[in-house]
Amino acid sequence: MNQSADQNFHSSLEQLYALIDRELDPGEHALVAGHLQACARCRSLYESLVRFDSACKRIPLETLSPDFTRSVMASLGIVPKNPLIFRLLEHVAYLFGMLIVLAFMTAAFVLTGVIKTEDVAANNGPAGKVLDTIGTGLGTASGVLGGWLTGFFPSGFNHGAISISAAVVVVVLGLALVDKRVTGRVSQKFR
Amino acid sequence: MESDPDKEIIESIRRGHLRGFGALVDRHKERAMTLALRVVGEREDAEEVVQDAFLRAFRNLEQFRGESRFSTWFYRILYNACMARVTRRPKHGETVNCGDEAIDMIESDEPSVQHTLENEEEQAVLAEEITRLPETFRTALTLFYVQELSYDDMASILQMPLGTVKTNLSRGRLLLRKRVLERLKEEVDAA
Repeated sequence: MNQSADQNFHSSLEQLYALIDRELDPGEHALVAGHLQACARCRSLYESLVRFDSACKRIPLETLSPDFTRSVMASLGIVPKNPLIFRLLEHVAYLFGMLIVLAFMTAAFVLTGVIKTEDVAANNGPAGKVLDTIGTGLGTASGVLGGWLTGFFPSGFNHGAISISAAVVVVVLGLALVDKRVTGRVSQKFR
Repeated sequence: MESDPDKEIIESIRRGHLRGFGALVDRHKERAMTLALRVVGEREDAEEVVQDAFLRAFRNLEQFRGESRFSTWFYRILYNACMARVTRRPKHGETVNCGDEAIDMIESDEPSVQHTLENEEEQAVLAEEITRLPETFRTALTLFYVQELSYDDMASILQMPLGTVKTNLSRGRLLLRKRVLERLKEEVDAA
């Protein structure tokens, strides 16, 4: 049967896909290609399949976390894991980044009038009360920590410096906790 | 078999340049992740499976004799790892009875439906619909379009007869095309 000459015997979809994939043997290839030249219906379907096929090939690939390759190589013992100091520095840099973002956000709220500086000074309004609560909490935590630490230092030691250090430690620990929660969630969502 | 683009790197690893394995990971990780995510379904699991597959590939590199491409050999390891992960999970009653749907479409296929599938929204529909296909079709389509494997290589990775691979691929394409065109048509009608 000469399929190319007989338009009643249309090419099957499997034949058309095999033609697109170049998986037909030469004889069948010639037969189907000949039929396409003669049959407008099959040619139109073939062209539609080609378009769909090329769209399928353009689907973007999935990405992995940026340190994936390093992690594989480290698991194999080919490259060392990132030294502890670099991992710590990475977190410290992240914390500073967060502080800068917080500062910009606060400035934006103050400039747009969402937070009124006089309210904050007088502990009035929602923003003033929230900041007052945070300040009281931080002050209490650093006071307790500072008080506990002063017991380990001689009486002539600068206790004010210990309290300030304790306050800094509390702030950094607080940010580190936020960092852990936020980066965990963000990286899960956007990786 | 076409020449293997990974051959040089593998020879260099065998000569002791172990860091070259990082280049193999970089070259294949995104395609591997795409396949793993399509089979396993969850990002965290998929990343773990890809990492395990790379570790296994490195440790068994001596067994790779170059009779196939490295990618074919590696994807077989990856696919087995994915299936091991999937079969450990409880089944959620995935619908695999799609033969009829595909056959119906052959009858009602309308070559006149034209979509270029070039804009981002249409591409997103396509990517989403692939993830909704039954696992057999999803895997076949991913190996074919993302990994760009031949029918023979797919049969080798999936450890299936060539005919079954062709059928799965063909039915998967038909079903995907039908669902995508229906979705796009619905969206056009709704607009």
